[in-house]
Amino acid sequence: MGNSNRVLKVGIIRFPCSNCDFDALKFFQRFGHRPEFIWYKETKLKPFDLIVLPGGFAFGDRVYKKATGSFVIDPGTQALTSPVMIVVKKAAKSGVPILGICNGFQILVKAGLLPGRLIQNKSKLFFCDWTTCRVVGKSVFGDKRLLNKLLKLPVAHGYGRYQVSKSEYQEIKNNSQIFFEYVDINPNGSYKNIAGVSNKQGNIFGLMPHPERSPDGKYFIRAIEKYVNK
Amino acid sequence: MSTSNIPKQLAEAMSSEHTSYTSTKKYLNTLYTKGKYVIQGPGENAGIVDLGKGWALALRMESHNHPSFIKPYHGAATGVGGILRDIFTMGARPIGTLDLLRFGTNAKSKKLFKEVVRGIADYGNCVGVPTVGGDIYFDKTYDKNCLVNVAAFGLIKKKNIIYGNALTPGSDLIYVGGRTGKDGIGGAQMASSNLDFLDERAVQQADPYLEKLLLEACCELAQTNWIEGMQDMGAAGLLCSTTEVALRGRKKTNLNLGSKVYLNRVPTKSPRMSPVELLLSESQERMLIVGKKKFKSKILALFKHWDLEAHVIGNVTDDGKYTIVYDSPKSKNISLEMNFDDIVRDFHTPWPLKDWTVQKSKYIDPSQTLKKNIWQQYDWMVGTRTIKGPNEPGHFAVLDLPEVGKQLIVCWGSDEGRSNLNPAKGIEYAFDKCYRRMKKLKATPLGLTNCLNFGHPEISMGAFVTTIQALSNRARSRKVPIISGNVSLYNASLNHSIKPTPILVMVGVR
Repeated sequence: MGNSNRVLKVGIIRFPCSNCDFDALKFFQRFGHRPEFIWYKETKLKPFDLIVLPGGFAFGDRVYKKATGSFVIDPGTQALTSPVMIVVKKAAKSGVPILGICNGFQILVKAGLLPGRLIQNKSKLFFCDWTTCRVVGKSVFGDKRLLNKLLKLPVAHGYGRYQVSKSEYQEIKNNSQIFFEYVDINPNGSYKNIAGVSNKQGNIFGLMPHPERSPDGKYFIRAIEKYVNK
Repeated sequence: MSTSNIPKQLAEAMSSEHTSYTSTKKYLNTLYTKGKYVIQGPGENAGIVDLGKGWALALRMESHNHPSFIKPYHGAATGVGGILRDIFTMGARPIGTLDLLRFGTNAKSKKLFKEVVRGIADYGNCVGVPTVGGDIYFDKTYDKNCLVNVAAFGLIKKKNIIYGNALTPGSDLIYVGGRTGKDGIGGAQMASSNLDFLDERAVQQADPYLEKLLLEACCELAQTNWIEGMQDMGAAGLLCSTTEVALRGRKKTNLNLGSKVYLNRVPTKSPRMSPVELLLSESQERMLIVGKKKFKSKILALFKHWDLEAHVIGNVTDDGKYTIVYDSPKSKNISLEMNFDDIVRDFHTPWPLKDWTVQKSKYIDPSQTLKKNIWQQYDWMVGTRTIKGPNEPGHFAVLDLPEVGKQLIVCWGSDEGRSNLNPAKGIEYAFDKCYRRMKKLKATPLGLTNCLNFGHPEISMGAFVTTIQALSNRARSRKVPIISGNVSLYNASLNHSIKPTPILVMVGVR
């Protein structure tokens, strides 16, 4: 059995305009772990126990057209061409656990590391408030202790409406990849109240709500500790 | 190129009410501004109070009323951008903002209101500074002049505070951030006249992404010993910032400091800009750094890391002059040397102090549903300090300050329509509301900032002076110093002036 008190080395990817970077850093520090920032231009990573893509507006949510310098709003897309994404994908393949929160979730979905799409909220407005979510499916990093637990976590996003086709939905449902769903309010119009999904292998998790902003975030930390130490 | 009329044009811009508070200065000088917690009072980019344990809080409030009426989305967004820069110019990391809004009751006002909220949300959310509170009221008096006031506060280690000054001849004037364009030329003058003959071109474009990069870079720079000053380019842009750093430095050092600016080195986004346009443009997200010569390459490298464009555009001199130069191309080769007195002149004639004429329109406090719909569009939790945000009632916010083991209490209050009947009673009501809240929460008030929104000085100056006197008396008797603030006059259109609308923000700790 692994030592559950082992200090985790956490790499937090910092894109220009990642604005929950310090929140994520403080979150892991609070539980005695050792987080550090990884700048988006990095091409080599030291070994990490967990990689986090934090919330924010990487590159201002913009995608620039090279020729004209004009841009369109499309969260996550501009981050895909960042040098660090090559190493993130490599780490993902070798089974390193990865957590994407909010904008980090958007990036992981755009990168094809997680299924589905995240589009603009049904209201067309940014929305920030508390939500209640239920842990389902594979649970958070496979931690069965958390199944069916209700967690109070806030959301803060304009592009968090989760969409999948019917066949994709059947697939991720059958694989228990949906691990988090809204229960009281659906803040963005997500399909089937989906708030978070994992990849098929179960090492990459993404969600729109912010565990680092909530006392209930401790359950995420515990689940990650258990996963890493297993 | 003829340069003979340049000094006059520059002097006119510098003397606008918005830039230099010409007609209000003598009254503002009477305010109660000192106290045991005050590190920096009015006169800098933001006021600063001591939080203890080596930490301090920068605080400032500003209006962006005129731009928000003309171009609500960008006007409101750049209002947020400007106030955030006032905070991080001092080296402080912004940890919260408040938005205090007043709109009319006609159809246009409803549209303005939606766009203003969207502008504030898009800007603040992207930069990642939580909007922890605010208020909103409606009154027909604001039909032709909406009010968009923004307050911001930030944390800084006392030893890292940066002032908007130059100290040493030979230091570099470094320009960083957005390129200079024709947007916002005349913005300062616009804010200092009635809203009758104005056009959209005086309103700047907002770029929160650029602001966020600037914020991070400036906060990193504040932790080094590479620079001796920092000044954001706000009203009257490059001109005001390059003169202000020299003038503040002259006072502090008693040296005959001057500024020399090479206009051909200023990065531009619009073609063929004249010297006056370059100097007066109010393009957003630009900063002036006064860098120590020997750290030039380090400073430029830090900005490069943050993907920011930075150029040395001039130097601090010891000739006591303000000089603009084109040293390339040769055809443009000019050099214009001016005395600071030529640019910073007082064109002001005093206004009469008339009694305020009471208006009859109704002051409306909207429903909780409407308010909820606003604050849910703002990220009020990013930064994970928000203990009491807008989700619970009450005109105050509570933020966690683990750095000093305390909680920050931020209270805001306005006259809520009372100044119209009695200007002194209005400001006293606002002050008492904040002060009583502090006491109720068992907090020690440290200082306050304010935004005094008034109509045309011809008919509002009397109410303004009464307000200032009543505020100063209350502040003195309760020992809550005024550490920064903003005056917005000319909230008027044709013969109509808005009701006097003073707004206060008080900070304290417990």
